[in-house]
Amino acid sequence: MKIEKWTPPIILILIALIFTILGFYLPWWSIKMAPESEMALNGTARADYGLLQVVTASRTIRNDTQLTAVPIANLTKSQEDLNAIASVFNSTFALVVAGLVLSLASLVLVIISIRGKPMRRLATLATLLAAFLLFIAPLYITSTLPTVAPKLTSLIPSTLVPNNPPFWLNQTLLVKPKDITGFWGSIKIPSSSEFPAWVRDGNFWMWGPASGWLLTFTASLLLFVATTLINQIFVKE
Amino acid sequence: MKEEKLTKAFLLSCLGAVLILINGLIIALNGAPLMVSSGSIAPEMVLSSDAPLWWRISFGFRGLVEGPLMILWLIFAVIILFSALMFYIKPIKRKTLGMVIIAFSILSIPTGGGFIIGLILAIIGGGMVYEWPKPARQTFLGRLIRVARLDPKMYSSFIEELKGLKPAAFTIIFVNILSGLGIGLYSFNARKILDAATPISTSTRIILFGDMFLDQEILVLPITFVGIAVVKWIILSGIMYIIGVKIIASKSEFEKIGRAIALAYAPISLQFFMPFIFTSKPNLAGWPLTLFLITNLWMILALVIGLKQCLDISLGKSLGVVSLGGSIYWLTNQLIFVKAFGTSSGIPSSAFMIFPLPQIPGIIQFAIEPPELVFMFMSVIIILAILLGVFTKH
Repeated sequence: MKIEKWTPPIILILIALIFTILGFYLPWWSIKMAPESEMALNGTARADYGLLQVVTASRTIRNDTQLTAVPIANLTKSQEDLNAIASVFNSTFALVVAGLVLSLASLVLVIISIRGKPMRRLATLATLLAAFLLFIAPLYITSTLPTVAPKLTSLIPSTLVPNNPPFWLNQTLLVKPKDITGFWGSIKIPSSSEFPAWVRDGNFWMWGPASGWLLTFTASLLLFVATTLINQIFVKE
Repeated sequence: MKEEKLTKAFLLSCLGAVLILINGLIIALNGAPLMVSSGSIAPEMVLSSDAPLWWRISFGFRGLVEGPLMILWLIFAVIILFSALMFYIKPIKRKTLGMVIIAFSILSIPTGGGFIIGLILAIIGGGMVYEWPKPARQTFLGRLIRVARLDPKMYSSFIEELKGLKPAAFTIIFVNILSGLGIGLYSFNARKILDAATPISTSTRIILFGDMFLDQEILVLPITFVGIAVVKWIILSGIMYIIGVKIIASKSEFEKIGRAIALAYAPISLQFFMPFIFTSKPNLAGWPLTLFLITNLWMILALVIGLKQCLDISLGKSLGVVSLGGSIYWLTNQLIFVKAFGTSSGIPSSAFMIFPLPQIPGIIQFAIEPPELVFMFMSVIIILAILLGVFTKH
């Protein structure tokens, strides 16, 4: 079996494109219950923040699952706060869009280059720029989101909490936006008699990057690899 | 043909890299290692003395995979992929690329090593890249796999091809470091579970959620015992040489016998994977014991095949040599190492250790008591060796 030299970089760019497109729809940041607290309380709750400024949240109590999706605007109390939060997501969105457009361009330019057209330098440059932009986007949101997260009124939409919630769901309200001091983080289970002994000192809530963030970051790494490969093929030819 | 081997090495490394990347992405998404278990168990039950047998395999160790650290694991996986692709496009710096693939595959172990399969594929692929254009079967790793499958022809060529005792000594050191790390990590965490002073939540985190606690002792132990392992290997080689060459009168050299024994030690390195699996509390010692029995039995079989090829004797005779030599070694090991070091480390002086490290603190001790039973066991072995023709000249 012989694989054409051009196939690997093209496949890499294609995978990067798919990952980036998925990144638009998948959440970029999430806050969820840690596995130990899920097991101890026999229930779960989580909230996912997407690039399109929609928070998708879910909770399960005794096999009863409820889902909700609300715009981030519903979780802020003033226009000023909303603007600050929206600017983070809008800037990240713009970086990803630019990265996606350049990835598409690089794919087209690489295909043209195989036929010998004089687009080789441009193809390398487009792939490198796309990689750079998609690398910057996750880093940008990582550094800026913790600074604006305290402007939210709550991290999980209150509509998820039923009338007579179990005690632990009330605890969800304990996770205050001001607790978010970093993009990654967690809070410990409170030392309360309501929690079994085997789970004490464990994590209660944890937050960090979600699938969209991870796929975009991976896409940028794949594009960096593709850039080097394209460059090597050109040098060789 | 050359192109075909290039594609094969590339595809293996690539597949390994992709699996490592997928494993890394899943872990990053979960924020916790991937767990496979024998079924659900109530957390309160897992540590009770009457817990049923429950096991879990953890692909990755919690504490090493969460937070910003996960970016590093993703970058490592992409580096493996990059090296495999670079090799395919420009197979010039194949040795460097092969080394990079192997090194970063090993570094992926804390994240589960691409469900272990990815790690194995990438290491084999990396080995092929390093030795390209040799066919897979002829590479060092390919031959090691054939040796592990107890292929007698492979044994002969492997023992003949190696020069001097240096590679054999390195094999012993490498195997001991790998098994020592696995044993150290497992026993440190198992001891934590068994320790009454440890909070119940810590024990549960280790068993149920794949947490791993580290300590400098885990690193120090395997390095400290490297010297002893080499001395023990020389003693075993000497015993086998005396029986094989002086008693049976086969034509062989000490070097060849030493190499055969070092090669036979290879399955012991599988003990490295011990901390990936944990069982419920009453069976904590059961799992490592199973692995010890399997790897040691494998080692004994490899030794029988290796000495058969080395001394050019029948399989039965080789079994006799291994039984007699092994039991003498066992006794020597007890007298020199266990008595000298074991008592001070709290192991009963009558404990007879049969694995490379003199002790696995607090977890496993192989002891035959009363001591008279040991002498009876030795007598049976000697009669067996006579029946198998050990004392008949070649």
